[in-house]
This record gives sequence, C-alpha cells and structure tokens, in this order.
Amino acid sequence: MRKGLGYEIFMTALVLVIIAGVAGALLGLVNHFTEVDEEELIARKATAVYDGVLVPYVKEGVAAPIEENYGQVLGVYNAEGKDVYVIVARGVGAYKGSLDLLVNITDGKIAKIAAYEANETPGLGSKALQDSYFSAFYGKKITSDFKGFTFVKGPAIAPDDVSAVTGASKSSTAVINAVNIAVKWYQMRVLTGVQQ
Amino acid sequence: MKSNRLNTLTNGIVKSNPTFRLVLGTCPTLAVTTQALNGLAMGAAVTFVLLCSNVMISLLKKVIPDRVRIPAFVVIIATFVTIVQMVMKKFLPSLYDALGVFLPLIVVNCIILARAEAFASCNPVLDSALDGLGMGFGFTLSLTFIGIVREILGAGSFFGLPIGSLGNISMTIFILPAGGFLVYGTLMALVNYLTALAENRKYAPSSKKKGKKEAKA
Repeated sequence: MRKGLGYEIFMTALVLVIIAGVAGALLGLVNHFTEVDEEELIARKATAVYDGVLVPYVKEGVAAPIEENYGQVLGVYNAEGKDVYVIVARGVGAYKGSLDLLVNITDGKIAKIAAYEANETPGLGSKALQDSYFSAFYGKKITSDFKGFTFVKGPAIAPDDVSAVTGASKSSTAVINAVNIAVKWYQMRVLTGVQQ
Repeated sequence: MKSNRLNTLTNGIVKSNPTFRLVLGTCPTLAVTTQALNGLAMGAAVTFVLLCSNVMISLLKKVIPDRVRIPAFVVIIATFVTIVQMVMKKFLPSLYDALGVFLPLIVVNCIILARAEAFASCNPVLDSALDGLGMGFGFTLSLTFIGIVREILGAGSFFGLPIGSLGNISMTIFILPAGGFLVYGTLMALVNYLTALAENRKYAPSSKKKGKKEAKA
C-alpha cells in the first residue's frame, strides 16, 4: 500500500514534469522565431510620426528620460544629422491611468503627434487620440520661455489654451500632459544645451 | 457513424452554440466585440487553441493521471495560448493591442476547459478535433455577428469601413459595455426564438398527424 502510494505520487509528478518540460521547449522554439525586438517595435510605430530612419538619442553626460508628476519621457529618438526628435511621452490622468504618445518635434516646432500606447474607450476617449485633436498642437514653436499648453474646458481663448474634447476630458488632460512633458524635455535637453 | 461525426461538428455551431445557447465565455464576448474584426480575431484565436488543446488532451488522455488532469489541461491550454500570443504580437501587432488582456485570458476561457474536461478527455482524437472546430466556429460566428451589429450601431462602420454618413448619427452606447449587454441579450433572444421555431417545424407534421388520428378516434 505504502509503496503503491509512493509510486503513484512519483508517476504523477513525472507526468506533470514531462508535460511542462515539453511545453516549455515548444514555447522556447516558437519564441525564437517570433521574438519582437523592442527597439524595432518602437521604430515601426514611430513611422506614424516620422518617415525615415530613427536612432535612439544619446548625448554624453545627459540622461535622456525625465519625470514629472504629470508625466514622463520614456525614450527619445532622433534622425541622424537632422533637427528631428521623436519623443515617447507618457501623460497621466487618462481614463485608464496613463497614455503614451509619440511627439515629433522638428526644427523646434511640434510637427506630428500619434498615439503610441493608449487604450481609451472607443467612441469617447478615443476622440482625443485622433489627428483632428492632435492638430491643435501642430506648428507651435517651442522657445525656452514657453510654459506649456493649458487645459481648458470650453473654447480656447489664450494662444496656448487647448480645449478638451467633449465627453473625454480625462483623455484630453492626459494628451496635454504628455505633450507638455515632451515639450519640457525638449526645453531641458535640447534648448538649454544649445544656449550653453 | 458519418452523420454522428457531422453532428459533433455542427453541435457547437447551432445546437450548443457556446455563446448563445450555453452562455459560456461571456466576459471576452462582451469585451472584445466593439468591432467586428476584433470579434473575428478573438474567435479565430479561440478556435486554434480549442482545436490544438482538444487534440493534445485526447492524445494524452491515457497518460495524464486522473488526479492532476486539471493542472495538466491548464498547462497544455496555456502553451497554445502563449503561442497564439507570440505569433500575433509579431505579425498582427494592431490586433494584439486591440485584444489586450483578453488574449492571455483565453487560458481560463471556460469553453476550452469545459470541452477538454467534458469531451476531449473521454473521446477519440478525430471526434475531439471536430468538436473543437465546431465549438470554435460557433464562438467565432457569434462574436463576429455581435461585433458587426455593435459596430454598425455604435460606430456606423462595417469591418472598419464607414457606411455612408451613418457615423454621424451612431449611438456610442453600443460600443460601451451597456450596449454590449443589450445587443447580446437581444441576439440571444432572437437565436433562441429561431431555434425554437425550427424545432417546432420539425415536429409539427407528426403532431398534426397525431391530432388527426385522435380526432378520428
């Protein structure tokens, strides 16, 4: 009886180990063929805001990412030899916590914005992630004394006001936060660098 | 035997449709059907996992000890789900993003576990494969159908293509959870009504004859 029980436990464990081992080996094999390089993934998504080759932004002695209470810059890419910066910016305050945008700043102006990682409610929050909304930021010249865009409900009055999308004030807030942190990064890392 | 096999295949599509008749896997059903394409993709992913896990479990049914069959099933199912996830991330990144957390959650989808436990673990390989395929098709059809209705009403488009100016008068509620329940319930009622109608028609001639006989007597 005792021997029988021991045998049963051993066989049970053996079968489970074999199944798990085969499963693991199979997954390893599939992973070998389907592995997605994070850099490649970002570069592929970045084509939404910039049509060309981008490389990670490196500058000696300067840490690329910055963080504030309203958002953070996750990474920066630039086109070699050109004044083009694609900033992966996360803005807080979205309906599901935060959302990530790609902000293209070319020749000191906001040229193009696209959603990078954002799952806002379709039909509501998603309206703040469309080009029709992003276009409110386009063409803005970033100077070192620019204080960032201001979120307003209702019509925009001051030049730096951006009005919220009706029914999507949370998503709009997060979009503006993400753009502002990207702007702040540009001011801190590029503009100050140029002046000094 | 042949008609038996055909029955196994069609069982999941009509008679025990997992979505409308068995009401299984409701959570992904409501969550991903905001667009027809998402519903179709989710259905395809579930069909693949269901087919593979049913075949594998049917093959291993004599090897897996009875006491640990559930963990063994879960490991097998999880393996196939992870394969689907990795392949989708590589080749269909936009769909991968759209399905989000509901893709890995296929592991605990009750349709798959139920078919493994109730069918594959006590039937031959071919029957299990047909059962998996049938159930998967049933799930895919239902999800795509719900997705089509919700997308037309809620976003005014069909598989992502806008239908005229319907987008301007679309009702956003239909792509929100509440609208999902409304569409699901209404379609379920419709499917059940049609099934009942078909069944009545099937039995109607015999019951008429019976009635006539009784009247004569």
